[in-house]
Amino acid sequence: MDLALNLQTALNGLANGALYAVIAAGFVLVYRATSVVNFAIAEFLLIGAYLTYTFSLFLPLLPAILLALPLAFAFGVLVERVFVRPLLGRNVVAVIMATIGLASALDGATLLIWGPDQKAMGTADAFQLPKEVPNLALRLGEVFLSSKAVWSLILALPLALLLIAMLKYSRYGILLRAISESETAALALGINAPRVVAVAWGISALMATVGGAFLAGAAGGGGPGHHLILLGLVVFPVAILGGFDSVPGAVVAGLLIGLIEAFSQLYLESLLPGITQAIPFLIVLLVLLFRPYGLFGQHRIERV
Amino acid sequence: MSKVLLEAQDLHLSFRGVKALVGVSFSVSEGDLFAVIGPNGAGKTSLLNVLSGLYKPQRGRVSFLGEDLATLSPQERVRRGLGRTFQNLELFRGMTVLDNVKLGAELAVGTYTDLLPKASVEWRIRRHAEEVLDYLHLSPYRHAPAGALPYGLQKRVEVARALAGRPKLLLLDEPMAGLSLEEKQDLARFLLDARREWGVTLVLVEHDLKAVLELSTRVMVMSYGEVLYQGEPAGVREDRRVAEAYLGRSA
Repeated sequence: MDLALNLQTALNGLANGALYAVIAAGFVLVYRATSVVNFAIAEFLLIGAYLTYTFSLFLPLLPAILLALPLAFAFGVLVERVFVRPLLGRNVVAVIMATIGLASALDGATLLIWGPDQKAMGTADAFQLPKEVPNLALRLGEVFLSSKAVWSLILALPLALLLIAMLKYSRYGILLRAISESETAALALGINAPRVVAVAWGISALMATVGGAFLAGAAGGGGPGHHLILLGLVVFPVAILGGFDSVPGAVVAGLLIGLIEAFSQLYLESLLPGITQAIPFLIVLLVLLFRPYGLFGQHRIERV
Repeated sequence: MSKVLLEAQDLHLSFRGVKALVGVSFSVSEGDLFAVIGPNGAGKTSLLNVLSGLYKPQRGRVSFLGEDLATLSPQERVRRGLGRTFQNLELFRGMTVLDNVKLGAELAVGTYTDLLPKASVEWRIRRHAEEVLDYLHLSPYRHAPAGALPYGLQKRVEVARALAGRPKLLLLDEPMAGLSLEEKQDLARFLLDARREWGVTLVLVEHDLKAVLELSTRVMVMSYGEVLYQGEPAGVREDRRVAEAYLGRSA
């Protein structure tokens, strides 16, 4: 066993996991606020990545991401207003079908706008400015961390932790928890539930954009393309492992899945090619068998 | 005669042919303890939902403090001082009793748009909430998760949360249902105290006739969406139509 190699694998796994964590945290936030499972979450991160890419045609990448965030927020609010709100109170299946339909529609829309080919992030060059984010690749002795990993760890992880803190201590966080427990009561206390819910959708899209931009290689390692949708699907195993209604759970589960993927890549991939992609879903099967509430989910006790 | 707070005129509400309210009119004056009674399915909860803005009546109008409520959303109505509680408990079960009541108290202090809590406002909310908890004898449970309390206490927490918002008028949907006799008497006493202490006008929906007649200043009896009787509590027992609805035709 090579200690340095294992350490490097662990850190890179955590870095990737931090991106999963950010995306899954936003996904779970929406589920907590509205009990809506957003099947279009993979498209949220695809669109976030494409928006970042589009701005990066004119701007350096870091400002491009910053500029994409408010747009992503507005997009999330728009989806809530147009697709989700009219269906509230209907059958759960109706809402699920609507978000699945939204996913296909967004797939098509992104194909029309940005085309089928994979883009390269941060290469287009209009104003002779430095395009890439600063290269933060690190070498600590034997351990090498790519710039992408460092960016993920210093950007995505704090963002996910910030969301947890906001949910616990900010007024919006408290209102959101109240709404998730009983929307009727929240309304009866004069809480502006529609606005809080819209903000939750906006934040979810915003976090998907951060995760999507870096997964798509904002700090090196490719560019946005439709393969992101497959990457985005990992949100579901992460959310289930975390308990589905717990934001901290989603963050821990994201990191965990990132770690497991990295080590599976290192040790199992040579024995069982392709296992790394399947592993998150295998974990979900096991979780559902042995801990149906995930790691941090609320145990719902039915009283009769 | 004291000031009219809430007035409903000719309310009609039906769900695909099922008539929930048929021409219901009444008015509640300041300081009243107005009881709405009727058997199950009489339209009492529908009436409350119309008043608090969850349902839109097909006909008729509701005004509160002289203002027409037709265009106001539920949360705007609450902010005008029209509070309510629910028949099936709607507590924030995962939060502590104190947090529940504090969310209610925010209404009285008015802090809807702040992103982060402000210390001075937070202090006022807290003091306000503690006062209500004290009044309803809930202080010992303040740090317990609301969902873990026994049913009777949960009901009381819901009343406390609504009272903490300092409503001018509080709509109570069957607050006594499912309580033991002793708990009913306690709650009745708390409600009367609250009315005296904070000047809250109360509208009490109940199907237990007896509990209500002793408390209320005015009574409205409903059956199948219609008003059978409206007036002094003392007159209810003599009213022929009420007796028929409650006891059957032979009475």
